[in-house]
Amino acid sequence: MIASLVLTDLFRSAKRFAVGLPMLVLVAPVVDLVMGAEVASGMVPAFFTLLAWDHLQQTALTEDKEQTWEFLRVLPLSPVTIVTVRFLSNGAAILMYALVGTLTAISIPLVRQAVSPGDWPIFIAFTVAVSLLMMAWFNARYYRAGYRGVMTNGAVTYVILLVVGVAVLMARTPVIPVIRAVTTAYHWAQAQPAPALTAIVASTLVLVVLSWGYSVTVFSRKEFH
Amino acid sequence: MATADDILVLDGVTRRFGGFLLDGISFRLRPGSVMGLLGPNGAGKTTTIKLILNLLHLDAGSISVFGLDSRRDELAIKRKLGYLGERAILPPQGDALWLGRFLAVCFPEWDDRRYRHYLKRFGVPTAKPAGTLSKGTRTKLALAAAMGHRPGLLLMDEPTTGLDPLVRHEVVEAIREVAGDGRRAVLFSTHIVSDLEAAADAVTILDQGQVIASEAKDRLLGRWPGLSLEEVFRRLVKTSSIEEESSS
Repeated sequence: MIASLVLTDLFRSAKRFAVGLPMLVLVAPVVDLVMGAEVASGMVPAFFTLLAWDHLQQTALTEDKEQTWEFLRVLPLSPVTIVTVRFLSNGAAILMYALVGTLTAISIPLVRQAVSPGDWPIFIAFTVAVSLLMMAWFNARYYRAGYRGVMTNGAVTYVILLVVGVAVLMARTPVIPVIRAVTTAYHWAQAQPAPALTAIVASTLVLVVLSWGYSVTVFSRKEFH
Repeated sequence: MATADDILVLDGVTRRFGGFLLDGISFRLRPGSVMGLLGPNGAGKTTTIKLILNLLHLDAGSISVFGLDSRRDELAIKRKLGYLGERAILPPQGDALWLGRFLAVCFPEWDDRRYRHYLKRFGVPTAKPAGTLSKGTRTKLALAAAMGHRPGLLLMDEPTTGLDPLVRHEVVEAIREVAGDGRRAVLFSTHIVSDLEAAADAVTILDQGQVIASEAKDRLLGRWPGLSLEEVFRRLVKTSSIEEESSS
């Protein structure tokens, strides 16, 4: 039943995919032509993450407008099933964007050459992990506070990050250790791809499962006045 | 006194939120019965139905449906339950056929032929998205969807509010038909007494979160000779309000 419901949910997002996937396919060659392969190789994951965020947001907005939660809760579907379907469906959408984005990037020779072959798995795993962690955060907030809550929360988080980011950039000195730490981590990951991949996948899965458990708990307690 | 055959038993159901208290309400529904839940606005009708559906949680008391506990056996109950709310909540992009396919995944005993029969009988277009249908047609679609798995209990919250007389008649006919085989039952809330008079054989009257009457419609009318159900309802609610004021 869960597989059927996931497929139904994905089919309902068909229009969104029909717009997002071609954009993802077009962005790499366009950026490659305009700004060069180095930038294009970085733009594909950034654009892919943006599409994943848009997908999460649009799905939640549609559910909110259509009162989907109340509709589903009068059917013989448990909160576990409803939340699991949302996580699997969002996860599948993210993987689909990742697959198309990666294939697009790889299919453009200059972009392919901009990333050394050994770095591709880390590159892809990192991009997918960022999107899945975004989903974990988004869904946990969404099931706790609903669409309006998650968007208000998202806006507040964005403003805080922006203010902190600007403050850090203006101070300059604290940026250096942060950049140094990220660079060290990335170099470590490049040098040892297997443990790095394992760490990325394991930590992402743990956080997604924690988010799923939290979402099930808060959704089970939810009332519909 | 509740029996093992009762389809629905509410026992001391209590729920408080804000300034409202649903205060220990109890009633039961037998197979083959159509019960109207009558009460003025804010009496607790919708709250009662949402508690049965587990959309709201109980503070105290118990609800048993088909002999099963409404909280512990929620899914088993909902597989045999049909629901139609005042606002027919349906996915607006999906048409009637899409809805049928979706509900077939959710209900193991979904009967697509039966669903299509109701769609045809109610004149619901099968290829138009639910969001583009009129309120009356959406209600009829929701009713067909609620009856497609032959529910043992049909719960309806103000199903006829805002509908034209023709659609209301069709809904009332369908209500009577469900309980007609003597094995199933219907509980519907309303403040339109004429619909209740036409469809129900039992009445539970709520006022300010309390049950002020719950019995067979004929027996209730028999206690007030010469009065219509609407007049009985008004007198009972007035008496209840006066008692409430004097006790406070």
